[in-house]
Amino acid sequence: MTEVHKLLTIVFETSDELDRESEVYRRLISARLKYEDHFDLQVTSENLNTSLLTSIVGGLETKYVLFVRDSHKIPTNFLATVIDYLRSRTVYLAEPHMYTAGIPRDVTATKMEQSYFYARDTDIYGVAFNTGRLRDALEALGDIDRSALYVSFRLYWSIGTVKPLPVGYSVATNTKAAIGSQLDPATPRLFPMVSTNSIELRTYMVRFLAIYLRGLRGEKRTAVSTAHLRDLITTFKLDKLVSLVQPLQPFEASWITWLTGSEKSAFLYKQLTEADFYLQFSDAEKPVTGDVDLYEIEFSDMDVLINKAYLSHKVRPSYANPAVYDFYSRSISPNSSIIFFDRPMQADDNAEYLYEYFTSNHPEYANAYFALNPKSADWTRLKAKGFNLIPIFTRDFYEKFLESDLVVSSQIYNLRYKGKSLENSRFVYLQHGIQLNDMSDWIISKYFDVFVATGKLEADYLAKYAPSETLNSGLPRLESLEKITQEGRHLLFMPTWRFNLNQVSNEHFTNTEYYRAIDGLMTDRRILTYLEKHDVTLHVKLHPNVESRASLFQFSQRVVKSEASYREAIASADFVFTDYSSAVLDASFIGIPIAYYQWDSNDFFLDQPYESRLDYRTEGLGPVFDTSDSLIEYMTSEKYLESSSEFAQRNERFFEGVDPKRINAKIVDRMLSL
Amino acid sequence: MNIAKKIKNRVSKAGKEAAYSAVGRLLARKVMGLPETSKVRSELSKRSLDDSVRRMTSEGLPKGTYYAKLTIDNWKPHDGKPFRLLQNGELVYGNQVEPPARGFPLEYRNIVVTSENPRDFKLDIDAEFSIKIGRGSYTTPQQLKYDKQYGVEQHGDVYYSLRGNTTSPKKILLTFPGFGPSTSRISYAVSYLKDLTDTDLRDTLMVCFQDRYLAAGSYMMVDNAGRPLYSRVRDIISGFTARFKVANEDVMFFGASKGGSIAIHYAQEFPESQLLLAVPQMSLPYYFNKPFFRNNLFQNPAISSLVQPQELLRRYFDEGRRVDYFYTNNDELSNHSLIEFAHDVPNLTKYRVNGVHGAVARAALPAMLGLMRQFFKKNIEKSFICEQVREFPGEGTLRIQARVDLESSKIENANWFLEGRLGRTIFRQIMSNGQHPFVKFTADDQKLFRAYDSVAELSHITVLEADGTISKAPLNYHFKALEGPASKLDVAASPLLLETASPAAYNIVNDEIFDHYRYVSQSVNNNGTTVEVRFTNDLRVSELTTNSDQDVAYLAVVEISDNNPLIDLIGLRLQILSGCEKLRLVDVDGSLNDSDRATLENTDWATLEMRSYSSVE
Repeated sequence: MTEVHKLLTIVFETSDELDRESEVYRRLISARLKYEDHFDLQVTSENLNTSLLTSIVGGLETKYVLFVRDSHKIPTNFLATVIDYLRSRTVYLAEPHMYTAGIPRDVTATKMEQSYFYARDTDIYGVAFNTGRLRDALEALGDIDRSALYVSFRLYWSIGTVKPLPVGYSVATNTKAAIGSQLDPATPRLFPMVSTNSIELRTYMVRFLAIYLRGLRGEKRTAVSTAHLRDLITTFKLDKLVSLVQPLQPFEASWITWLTGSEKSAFLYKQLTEADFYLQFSDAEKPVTGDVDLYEIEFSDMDVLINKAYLSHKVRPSYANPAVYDFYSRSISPNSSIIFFDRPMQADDNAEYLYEYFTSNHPEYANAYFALNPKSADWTRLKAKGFNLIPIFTRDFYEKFLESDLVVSSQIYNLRYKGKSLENSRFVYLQHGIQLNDMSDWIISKYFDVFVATGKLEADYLAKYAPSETLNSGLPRLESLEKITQEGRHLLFMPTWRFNLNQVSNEHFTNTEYYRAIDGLMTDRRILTYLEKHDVTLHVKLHPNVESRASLFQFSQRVVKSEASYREAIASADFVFTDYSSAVLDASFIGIPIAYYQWDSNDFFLDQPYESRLDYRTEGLGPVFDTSDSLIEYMTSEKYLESSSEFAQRNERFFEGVDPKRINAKIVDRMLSL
Repeated sequence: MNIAKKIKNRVSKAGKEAAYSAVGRLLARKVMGLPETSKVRSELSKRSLDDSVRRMTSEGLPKGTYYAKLTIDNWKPHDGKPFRLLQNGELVYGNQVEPPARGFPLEYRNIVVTSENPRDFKLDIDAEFSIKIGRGSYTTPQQLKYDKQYGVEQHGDVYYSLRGNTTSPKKILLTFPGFGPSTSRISYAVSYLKDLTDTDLRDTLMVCFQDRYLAAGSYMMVDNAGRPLYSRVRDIISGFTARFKVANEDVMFFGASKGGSIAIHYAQEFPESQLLLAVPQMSLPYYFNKPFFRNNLFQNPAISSLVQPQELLRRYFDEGRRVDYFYTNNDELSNHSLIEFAHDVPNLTKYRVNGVHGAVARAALPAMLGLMRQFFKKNIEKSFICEQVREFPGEGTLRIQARVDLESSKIENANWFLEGRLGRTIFRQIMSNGQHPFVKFTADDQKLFRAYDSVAELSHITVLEADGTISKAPLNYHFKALEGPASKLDVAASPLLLETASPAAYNIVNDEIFDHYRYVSQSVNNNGTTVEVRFTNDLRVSELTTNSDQDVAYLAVVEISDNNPLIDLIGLRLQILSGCEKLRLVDVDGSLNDSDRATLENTDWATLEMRSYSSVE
């Protein structure tokens, strides 16, 4: 008797143990109701790399194989749509409409155009491959990284276009585009050199290349050669598509152009007031000198140096061209329009404080605007304060942006309108807080004329990458921050977020170390007793990403959920502690004692897109606790009320250079001189 | 017998002789003047006699002259090459082969010849051809459709269509057409200006003249028989002004290229009228001295002997007429060293546009329509703000960038100009739009030249909108690049003279090249056939001498310098001006350098002899 094989194997990749309550898992297995005979589900908790994938595929007997990751999103009809399609035909592959965020209700309305292709994640996930053909292809593509297998498969079988199925799939994150991705270190090449004219595939390739180069800035070393990259770029004419990379990844766009074999080594990156910022690329054997060394990247055939140079305006190709407007050619004057904004839905941050200072101290600047979403709760408040509000990201906002001489914000957005961008115009970046982590790759990638730092430590760190742009003034919101005295004692706990928990089910969430550490502390009998005995209240300010799961935490009479703004919550507290949040530094700035409770300090930075820069134990402005016991002991013995000369010294060193009474004045002086 | 039958009988029985007689022509014109729906026209149409009768309406040629239609069959191998049609060895027509409209033969219609026998004709290229000869002019279905669409009517030997207020106009706009492509199926166009609406023309009569003479137009200078048309057209114009009691100052003459030259020609007797011109030809013989015209219009003695547009325009400048003149420096063939250098002329506004001759009217259409609409109805001048000016000096040049207020920058369907004064003349240099809407700038081919753009004061950014709105923003900026003695260089638009009383200056500009000469000239021998141009390093020591050959009609001595990039043009212009057959260039004192010689030798001269001084001795 002939054995009848099922149609499809789902390889379900989990990062941890299988979360059977997760939405994606439930939606997959719910298809068993009708399609049990058609598919198998294979769970793997190992990271799928090419060799594991080859071995899995080698053992499959189903006609098709589809990979799904537990952090991704699928609609309820996902599997049914795929199976219905595959049942009646033999194809190389079938794929859904791919997204990086929410899946629209009607995916067929998504236009299959270059912007879709460029935004699309091209990993293997969500795509049903013909198992036999994947197996064949893998024999040739065994040295290709998993993340490039989908594109390589299409190149190998010359599949120039694919009509997606009328269903969506979301990888639920777009951080790859921002932080890059890293290949298996042994990977010698990105794609096979199987030529194609498909603009779709070429778009995927240029995106992949940009993301790979972005990741390489973190990794610093690759088994790929620059010769291979040049071959790729010229064979697939990827240099013609570099304009797709430019808006969001200008660093990588310059890099790709250089890799093409450009004679040029210096690429204009950002116009500035005194001299422009150029990225310079060179072979380490023939180095080009610059002002700031940024990277040394080891390719298999060459070490590439990347540095930053401040070069005279006259070097700029457009300098003597009247067709190109120089936004710096008009100095900032009381006639200038200046736009301030914080987050679109939430003001109450550095831009608001600076705007308030600026408009009351410089009333001659009549065209200062504060941009905000009118649906924000802050709109009415600021309106009442007499703010000159404009709705953010509207046509009117962009027209104002075009006309303006300066943008000042605590957020960095990729503003582009009618040829104006932050690349060719003035931008003062205020930040939301103080950088304690190593965000250098991010800092180098961003456009700003002024980067506001708080204290010498941070300023020195920033000046390593942006010496002429860094301003050690302190954050605007700190100038007016004052301790609020009130009846009764308040303690404040402000845990930050973990990126790897974005997609987990509530069931799974309550099993995480994150939840257990926080909730455990909130319900610890010693704490509760202490609070009760000393008439103290513990306020817990949950991270906005946890707000929707707030009900999972066991609040009580003494442990309450803080609904106040960060500013109010901090200013009214007598002691503030966090795991890693830099917001507690505001408290320290005004003399409120702080502490760190880092129950997962060994793993925390492994899962985050950045690394810790601050050594909390030697440079932190408060004690660091690894265990709840030590923290509880510290709290219940009221050690936090005792003054510490060590932390006072650290505090002084940390905030060195910040004049609490001249924070805003210092920023305004600098911004008006741009 | 009804009238259709009468006509038919004339054609079939009395023969062509009678049909093409003056009586036959009048009758035919009367018939074709009836509405198409009339009984007679319907009858003709039914019997397919339309074309025969229409040909009878055409202008009568003197006895022994005929219209010919030349069709060249295998033109492709000859594409781009000149050809000549010879009648018994004598040139009757010539042109340069260009591809015809797709699907149509290469035809040249209405060549006037003096033989009815096709065997008398030959082509000087190895191409099969056929020739049709008749008493009536030739046309095409496309031309007939065009004429009908635009309402072109025949009035005697003059053709025009009427638009706008035809009953009680207060103003009159006269338009004259330019050339279409030389192989077009519609050889005779009108400048109808479709953008102008009935509302625009509520109080204005618009007369769109058609240049329906010879193979592609005669600049409305002569009819097919070579007789001047001036009085016939002038009478039509003055007929309108008299009938509607429209004063001359309420008459505007408009034309682009050929149309501009015609407009200048017919404005002679309307001294207070306005002229709106785009790239007119200032010297027709000079313009015709190129492959497309050399063997047709250039050969027409009647056209060359008429007073040339440059002479008329200089007269109008002296009269202080209102002239709005659009031109490009990349057009020395049309400009002929007049408009480029004209300054301190009252009521003259010069609009300099970049690009080639053929691109000017299209590029400046909004401004030209705006000027017409201002003529129809005076508009109030608006103002806006120029927020910032930057200058970009080059070697002897200046480009500028202006930032205007964002709101005004969004004005559409308009031309933006950098405006300055040249004495009493207003100068407007067209500008480009920058990447950002508020940026207006002069591009590389819009830059100002310190050598001859002695713009005393660049004062405004001016916007002319197609709807007639004019907006101005003061610049309030002192340009350093135009400072210094060179900017005060006297670059007069002096005419080139065959007889100078004392050393004269002559300036030439061709695109970005500026050249200037001093010279003396005199008439030598009335029966001469040659212009002799002697080049020297120093006009003072090389006095004009009559020590010349018998064939010399005019003698000119031209002082040159080390760099004479347009040296070929001065000789050519002198020859054309003189009407002489030959040009002799003489190197008096070894002054011509290799570059000069190369320029002179590479020129497409009709007849040229080069000598050194010793041979003159």
